[in-house]
Amino acid sequence: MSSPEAISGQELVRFQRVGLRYGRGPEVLSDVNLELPRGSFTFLTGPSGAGKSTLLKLCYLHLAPSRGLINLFGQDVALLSPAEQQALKRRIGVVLQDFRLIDHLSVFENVALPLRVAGQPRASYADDVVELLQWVGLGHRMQALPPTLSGGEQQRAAIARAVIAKPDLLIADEPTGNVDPVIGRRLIRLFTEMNRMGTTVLIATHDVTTIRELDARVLRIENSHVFKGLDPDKPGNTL
Amino acid sequence: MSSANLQTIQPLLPERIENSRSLLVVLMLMAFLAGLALLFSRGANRMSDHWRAQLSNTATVQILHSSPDTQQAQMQSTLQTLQSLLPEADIQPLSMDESRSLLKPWIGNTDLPEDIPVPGLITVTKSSGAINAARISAALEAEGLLVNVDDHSQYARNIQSTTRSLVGLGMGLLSILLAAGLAVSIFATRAGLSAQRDIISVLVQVGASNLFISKLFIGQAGRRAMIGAAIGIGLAALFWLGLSVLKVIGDVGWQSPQMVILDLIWLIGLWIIFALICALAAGMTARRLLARERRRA
Ligand SMILES: Nc1ncnc2c1ncn2[C@@H]1O[C@H](COP(=O)(O)OP(=O)(O)OP(=O)(O)O)[C@@H](O)[C@H]1O
Ligand SMILES: [Mg+2]
Repeated sequence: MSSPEAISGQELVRFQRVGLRYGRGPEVLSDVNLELPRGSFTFLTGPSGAGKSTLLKLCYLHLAPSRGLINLFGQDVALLSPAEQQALKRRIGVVLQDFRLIDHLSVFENVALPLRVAGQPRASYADDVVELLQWVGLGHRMQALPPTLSGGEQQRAAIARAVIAKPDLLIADEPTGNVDPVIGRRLIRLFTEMNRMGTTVLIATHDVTTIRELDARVLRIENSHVFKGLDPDKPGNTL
Repeated sequence: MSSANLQTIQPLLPERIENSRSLLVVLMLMAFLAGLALLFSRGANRMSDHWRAQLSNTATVQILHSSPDTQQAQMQSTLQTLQSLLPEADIQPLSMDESRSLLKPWIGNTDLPEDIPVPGLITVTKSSGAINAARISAALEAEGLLVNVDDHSQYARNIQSTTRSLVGLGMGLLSILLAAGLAVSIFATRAGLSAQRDIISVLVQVGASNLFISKLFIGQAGRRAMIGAAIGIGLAALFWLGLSVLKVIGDVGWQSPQMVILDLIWLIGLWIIFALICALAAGMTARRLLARERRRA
């Protein structure tokens, strides 16, 4: 694969007039233009059902747009072969709303999965996985199977899996939805740490308080279009 | 949570999925039958070789004499000619009683009247090498002796063609069973891909290539086939041993440790081929289906 950095400028993700419909339904997203600069930290917000998860799916190559252009790491994703797409996915960490942990694998194995898929030898990452699990407060649950974890614990395992391979792009869908505020703040700190070390972060959330606490970029989906900043019509939203 | 535990790598596809036990039983049965087919083919082949070897180094010389008075003299000169022709062979004239008893199957178990003409018979046995019937009759005819030399080549040909059909039958069965193993593996992989859809979607999400995922299916199917076939083929070997000891299958069965060892080596080969076929069928099916799915997405 050619070096993606060589092709493009500063944006890691760029949408140009992107539209998406599920099957023959209406367009969930229309005419979306957006850019995520390299190293940026962006929140994506909007009412339930607005299309946040859908937009994220386009970013992590789970869906292909119905129309328009998506550029990832400087490459037009429509032109990528399946193998190239998979190689790109290995540079993206994803935390899904429903966690998607593998039930028969221990928490340790779940978190180590991206490294294993990338073909790294176990000895090279075992300590990192343990350290990360301790950091997200799952040090005592490493050998547990996901179905025996609480929702918040599963969420933390999913986040650990998303960040373990130090991805260039981190995408999280409601990552603090199932945890108490203390853990939530800790997880957000994990994301800001990753961001400081160069990872571009895109987080979908309803949680306006968290958005306010961090002085980050905000994108908002409304009526299938994407706007910058929080809704100015709503009181207290000054961004 | 000890680091020792972390060293053991869990397989990415679960060992036990829905129907995996019945699948194992099916594979086991097929391997059992395939093992028996192989043992049967090899046994039949061995028996035929053995019989034909025995036949080819013996011949029966039948003296066509005109009257009982000259029979003795003819017998003597035939023996002399044979001895000079084949000095290293074992040449045995059959006594009248022995010749007579050979006729019994054809004329019933009654006492033969003394005056019924019984042909004089001489058996010629060479310790090694085949006997040339044409050469013997030519030499005897040159001496003016009227004989009929039977080197059993007709029998040998019959045995050979019968054995060929039997071995062909066994090999045909074996091929059908291996093809069935292939089909079962393809079927199981299709079912496995949809049963393990969630796991695969996670693997795809973290960037696993189709090849990587196919290899998981190769491993899963290969392990399953190796276990099923080991049990099935092992049972076939035990079954064959039982049949051989009880002499149910006569000369087709095992008669020496050497045969057992050789056949076991063949069975191990069958085991490896069986597992390979299942594993490769799974890998190819997985690859094809994953590629198709990716195109649809
Ligand atoms: N697989 C699908 N097939 C058909 N329609 C879908 C599918 N997934 C989502 N939708 C529809 O697309 C719209 C956007 O859904 P999406 O999940 O992106 O919303 P969201 O902003 O993430 O909502 P939430 O905040 O509740 O998670 C919704 O109307 C939803 O019903
Ligand atoms: Mg959502």
